[in-house]
Amino acid sequence: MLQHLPSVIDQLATFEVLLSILAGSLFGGFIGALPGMGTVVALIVALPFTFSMSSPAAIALLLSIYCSSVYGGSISAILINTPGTPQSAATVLDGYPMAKRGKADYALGWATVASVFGGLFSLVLLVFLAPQLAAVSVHFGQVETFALIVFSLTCIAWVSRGSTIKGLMAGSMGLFLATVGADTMTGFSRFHFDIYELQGGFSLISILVGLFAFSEVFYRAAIREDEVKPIPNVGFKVAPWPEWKSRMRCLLQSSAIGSFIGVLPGTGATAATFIAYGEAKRVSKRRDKFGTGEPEGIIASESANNAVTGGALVPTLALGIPGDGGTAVMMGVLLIHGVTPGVQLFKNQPEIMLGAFVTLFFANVILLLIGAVGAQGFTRVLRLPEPMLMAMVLLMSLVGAYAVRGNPVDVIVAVAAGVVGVFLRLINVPMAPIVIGMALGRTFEESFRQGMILKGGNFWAFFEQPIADGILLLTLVVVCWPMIARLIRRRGMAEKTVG
Amino acid sequence: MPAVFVYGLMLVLSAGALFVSTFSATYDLGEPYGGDVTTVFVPRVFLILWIIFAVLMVVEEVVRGRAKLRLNVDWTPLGLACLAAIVIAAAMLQFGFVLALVPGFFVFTWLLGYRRPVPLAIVSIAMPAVVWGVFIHFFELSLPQSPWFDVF
Repeated sequence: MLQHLPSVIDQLATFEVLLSILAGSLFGGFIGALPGMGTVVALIVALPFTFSMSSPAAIALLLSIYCSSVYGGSISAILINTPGTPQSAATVLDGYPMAKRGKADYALGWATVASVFGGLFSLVLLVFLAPQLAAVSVHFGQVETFALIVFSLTCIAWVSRGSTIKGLMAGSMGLFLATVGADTMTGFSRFHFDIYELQGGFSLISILVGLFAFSEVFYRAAIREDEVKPIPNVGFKVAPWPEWKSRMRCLLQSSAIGSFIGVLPGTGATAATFIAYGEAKRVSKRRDKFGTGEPEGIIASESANNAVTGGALVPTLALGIPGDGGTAVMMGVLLIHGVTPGVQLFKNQPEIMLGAFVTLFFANVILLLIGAVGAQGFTRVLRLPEPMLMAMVLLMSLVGAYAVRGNPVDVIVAVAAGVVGVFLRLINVPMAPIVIGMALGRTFEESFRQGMILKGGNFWAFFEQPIADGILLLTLVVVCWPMIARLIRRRGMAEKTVG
Repeated sequence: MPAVFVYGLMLVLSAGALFVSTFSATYDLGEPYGGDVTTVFVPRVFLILWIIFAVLMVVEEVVRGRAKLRLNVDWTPLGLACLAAIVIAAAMLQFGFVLALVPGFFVFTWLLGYRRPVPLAIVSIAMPAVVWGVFIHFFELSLPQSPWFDVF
């Protein structure tokens, strides 16, 4: 793959791509800094711009937004005690206390450098692991693909906010939505109810736009926060090297935790940051200072959450299985550009993969520059009136829903998905499993039906494949783990009581 | 009635209605070949899972004692925002992007509580115009065109 590096750099060293990386990094940072907006909304708002871009520029834009929006969440976490993205929830614990002590500029410095390190660490993992995983997946037949999707959807539901049952229900809904339109095995059109435009099925992009962007706008209208938090003006300072040197173990450990958790479908970036924070506190010599503005707390959270971004791209690019809403958006855009993630991508278009890796490297490096130079600008973003921001999201979402196919029905579907989505959100049903279910539904059905044809209609023969058995066993462990963990805890408590 | 019951019931009924529709004559395509299943087999499985998990969701909420809680939601702004979005989307498809989004942006922002008409009017004209210009002339992508004007 590395033999393509010179041509890849040649492809990327264009004004369009470099501008995309810069614009994406700035835009992602701004949107990430706004509480509640999040990575997925940032990607969806930028989505319509990618339709007319070249593939390298579109990928560069989205990857840059993906990295920088996660970092952007730390800004509001530090300055106003409200994480901009869920991935920055743990940053609040030490970032805000540090800001209250008048050291917000150092807090931003710690967050920025840790984010860059975490992102680069996971990029190394991505570069080595993704091709290996893609190479293994060559041995995956239909049955193995079926098992892998079952495992992925279970993981995603398991780490969903709300509850596992709500996550599984959302996943089922998404899987069903994928069956609307032409059956890929027979060509027969299903569930169109004589609406001509639905014979081609729902567009993943319009459902994404509806469930994430429109529902967010409606949700903000329904649940309003009256408290207006004062936004201080801050600069940017990086602590001296001896301060960093004494915290290197925390940085490496948290980056590793975020990277490996990110590889699992369902990523659970929020879970990764809290696990990293908890581990950092457990092993730190300064554990008593955690929660009072200890830099290790910021390092743990920010390096882990940015490390998740690289890890999450491993199953997305190597297997075509998106791990969260953000990677689902990216996969949707890749498909629009004729790029199908998975083993064929590594085999037939390795320059695209290499281009993504190089883009990620530059996007992470630019983060340092943007954090240093843009800290003041990001704080101004927090002063924008929310109603106006929501109207802008509505406008860009309408554009995004229409521009993908120029089909008016996509706009109607997006708005309808937004209305349905907000009611689901009000009862804490997560949106990501719906979208991921829809993204994987066709592949899931095809792999199942082709597997059935191969096995002569005998479903039990699916369990004669050792790789598939291993994956399904892992699925069972994931599903049963909460119960097993509870039993172990109760036994431990009982033994303590007896002792 | 608590919201989770209402939503749970709606989800179950929606999935149920779709499930029943799979038994209509439309999908009676004869026996599938080889080991394949019928065209509606997999959708039926998904719909059954949907129904089961929707019912379990309601049961879970009841067991955890959350079913009795009302949602802390301001229904009027929510309803107005949904209605406004539907009207704006329909107007965009009927009257064109610019003609719909200029007043639409203003009305939507006003509905969400922003009360400074002059800056709002400026942004309501500028934002849709800029987006229109960038998409049509720079990216050369199409957006809904007005039936009365050639320019936008």
